[in-house]
Amino acid sequence: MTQFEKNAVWQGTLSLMVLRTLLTMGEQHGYGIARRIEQTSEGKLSINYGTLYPALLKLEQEGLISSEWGVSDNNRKAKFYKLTRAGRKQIERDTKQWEATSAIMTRFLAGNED
Amino acid sequence: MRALRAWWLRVRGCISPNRGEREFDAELQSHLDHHIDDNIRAGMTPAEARRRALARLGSVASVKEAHRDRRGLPRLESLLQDARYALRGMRRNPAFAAACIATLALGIGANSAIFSVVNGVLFAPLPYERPDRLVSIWIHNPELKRGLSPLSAPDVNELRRMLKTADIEAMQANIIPASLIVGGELVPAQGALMTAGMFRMLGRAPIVGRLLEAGDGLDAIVISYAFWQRQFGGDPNVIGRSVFDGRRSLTIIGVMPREFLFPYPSMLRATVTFTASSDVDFWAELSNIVAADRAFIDRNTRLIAVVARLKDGVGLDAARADVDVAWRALAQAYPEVNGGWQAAVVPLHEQAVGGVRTQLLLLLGSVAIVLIVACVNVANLLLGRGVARQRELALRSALGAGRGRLLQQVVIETVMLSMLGALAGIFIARWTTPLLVAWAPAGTPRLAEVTTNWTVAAFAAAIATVCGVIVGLVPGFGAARVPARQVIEEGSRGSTRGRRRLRGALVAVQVALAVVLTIAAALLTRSFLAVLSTDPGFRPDHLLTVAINAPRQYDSDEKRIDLYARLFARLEAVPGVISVGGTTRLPLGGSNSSTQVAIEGRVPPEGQWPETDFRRAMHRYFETMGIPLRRGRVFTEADRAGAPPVAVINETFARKMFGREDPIGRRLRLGSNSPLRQATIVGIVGDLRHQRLDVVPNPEIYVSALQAAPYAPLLVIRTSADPAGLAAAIRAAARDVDASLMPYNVRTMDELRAASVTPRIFLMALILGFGVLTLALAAIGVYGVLALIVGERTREIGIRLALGAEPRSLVTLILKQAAVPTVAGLVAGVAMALLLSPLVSSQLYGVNAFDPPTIAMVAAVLMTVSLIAAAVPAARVLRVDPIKTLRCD
Repeated sequence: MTQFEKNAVWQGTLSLMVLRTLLTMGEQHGYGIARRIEQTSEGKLSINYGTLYPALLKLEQEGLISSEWGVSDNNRKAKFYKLTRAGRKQIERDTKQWEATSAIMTRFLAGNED
Repeated sequence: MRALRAWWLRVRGCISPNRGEREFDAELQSHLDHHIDDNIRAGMTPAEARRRALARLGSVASVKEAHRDRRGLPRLESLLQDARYALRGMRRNPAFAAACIATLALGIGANSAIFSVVNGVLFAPLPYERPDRLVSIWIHNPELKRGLSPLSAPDVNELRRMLKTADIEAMQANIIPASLIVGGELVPAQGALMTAGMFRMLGRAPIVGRLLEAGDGLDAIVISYAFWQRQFGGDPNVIGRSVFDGRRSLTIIGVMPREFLFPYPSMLRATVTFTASSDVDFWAELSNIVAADRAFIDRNTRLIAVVARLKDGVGLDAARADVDVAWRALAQAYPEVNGGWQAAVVPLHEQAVGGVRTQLLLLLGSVAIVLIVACVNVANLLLGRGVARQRELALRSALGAGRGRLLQQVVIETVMLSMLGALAGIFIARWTTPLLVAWAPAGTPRLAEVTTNWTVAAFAAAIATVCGVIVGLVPGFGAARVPARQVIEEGSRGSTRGRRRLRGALVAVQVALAVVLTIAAALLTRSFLAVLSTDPGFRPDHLLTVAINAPRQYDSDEKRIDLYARLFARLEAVPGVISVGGTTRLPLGGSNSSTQVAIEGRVPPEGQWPETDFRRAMHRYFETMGIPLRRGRVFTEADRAGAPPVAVINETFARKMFGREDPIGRRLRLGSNSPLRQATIVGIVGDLRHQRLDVVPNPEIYVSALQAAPYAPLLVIRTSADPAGLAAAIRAAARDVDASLMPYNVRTMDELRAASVTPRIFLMALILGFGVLTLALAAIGVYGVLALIVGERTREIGIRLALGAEPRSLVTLILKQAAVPTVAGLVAGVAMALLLSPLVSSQLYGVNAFDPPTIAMVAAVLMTVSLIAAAVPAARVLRVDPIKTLRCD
């Protein structure tokens, strides 16, 4: 399992993961988001809740997601997060940027092997 | 935009922190429940499921803290928390807070008031368009020791054509005193003559009517806002109205706005005449006068002050070089008048206020010392707040507060104290600044522009912040440095040695600064007393001075001589009048006039004649003034038109121009400013202090008014009783001679003498006041330290007494504790005062900046004050009851 530090890159990455998760799943609560990210990473990621919840709060403060209390499948009260319109746009932008960065890094690292 | 929105939400989070906290508790609980549900579904027992879920969540406190930090702004929150804490502290100990705030309010208020004046006079830009591009152009002659002087009209005209880097406009280098008849009432007024383009160059438009145009005749005037309000009640229909100046009627064509003040007297650094009052009431076109008056054609008659606007992109150096080249050409073209003269370019702002810079900066420096001493006192108060506070800080440090965080908390508290002090200080400044302005010497330029504005408020806030931080850091570092364990272990007695040493050092600083200010104040006071005891060269008591203007029908010398003779005879008949005389320039009257002079037999080339002060003497002038005759004779009735022209000189003239030769009987040639072009010296009179009491006399020459009758003489009247009481009788007597003869500017010579020393009184009294204030603050500092020492050592003193120590020796022991920092501060202060003495030396008169008696006196005063301040707490030793103190623990 990879434990990430609380650095800026990780924060940005986690935000994008959260946004993508909400895009595929629709409304979801914090616990569900964490589970889903861990499953998607095939167990390679362990989400630190001390990072996840502030990240959710930051996205909400920035207007990319909104939250509402509701009732979960387990019939429990839970705070549900969902994407806003600004959030959807942000996913496109961040994805493009991430792909570009990742392409550059890949080429860069490959170049080192020559 | 998004960051801003997030920031705003976080600021709101700081304000109502509880709601977010409760909500997140619920969210975490829900998170945990979901996890437990999942675990149970995976087959765990409820207990195991709960245990695993909790383990996975980790430290609930740290998750909550991370969330809390994101919810609000942690830095802001800690600041708010400290601020709330500081406020609680102030409420708990209001006397302490009040003492700190009052001390700082005094310091900051005094600084803000002085800064208001300094800012309005020195720092604020002149009230013209792009004033930094304006300069004055002068000429000076180092060989003849002639300072910055105006130019001649022909030179200005040529200069205007030659300069490539600047546009120039001209004005007559003296304010014209006039008496205008406005609606039948005689009003003294001051006029300035300048070229029509001057208003436009300064970039100012009239609020009513129009500006002067090049084609305007001699009779068109623009009036000032103040004159408009005073004489016409701000009537908008004033345009086209006429006032009468005794010779012709002048038509008002425009009114300038209130803030248009031009020229300041300091912009007219003229040798010819100069009045102390700074308000110009009307402006008229100069070119007409120049064209009409033949005197202006003379290249040797230098009456024109030049103001120039540098062209865009031209620097001061480039302009200087340009003016220099142009002037050299003029000096070469006219070597007999312009040879040896050089041009000088002075920024207009410097020209306007340069003369008072030293005094104002001295005041600012002195008042800054008051503030420093006040800050030290507050720091001392904080240090003396006792062990309790230090223990509290140590405890918080032990509980995990970082050193930075502790410092922040102390500094926040002191900054809050000083901000409250600044708030009170601004009110003090608003209240005292008008008093300062009212009291400032009349000749100070730009006083009308002094206000307590936002700049001053910002200044107060800035110095309050600096003071707060410094005052907080001193005790803050002291507290943060001591290891927490030590403080807590030492219990209520605490560690006080280091702090006591710090407090001693602070007292030494206060004493040193008090010494500096007190020495400066003592030197200025001694200078002032020296000025007051200076013999003015005449007897100023029981003298009344009166200005009159010969009415228009007295248009020849004969008619005026007859008028004045009848007037003098009538005035001498007034009961209480001893004798009467007259002149054209009064000593200490704020104006002067000079002419060029040469001794026959050794006449230098034209343009290199030395300058001498010039006046006319009327009737029994020397006798009335009490000016002693040294040799020869004064004027008699026989020295009238037709008789050989005669002159009386002063001793300085005789000494400088003749040395050991006998001046009596020598013939003089006089320059174009003099109505007589030649005269024979018949007498020598004593020197008198014409400009100010502390300015040594110039060479001076008098001619007889019977040979050159003035239009606007100044009469002096010696009286047997209080001269002020005779004013009405003098006015009536003048009207008896001619109903249109209206005496004005009726003042006693004592008033003039007092006015001539006001700049000195102003500076001296303020610095003396600041000196006394710092002395008081330093005394409080000494008192505070000793009170602390006695308090801390009460038990030790009790033990010593119980063991049989002499109470008196214990008092001495305590007093020694005050003596060490006092003496150290005294030595440091004297050294500092000597280092700083060049700053005040220009303001001293009759005393050196290094004056051992003054230093000795200040040292004695300081030691006495310090000992008295120390004696109060030291005396408490005598009241210590050994039994009580030994029991109390």
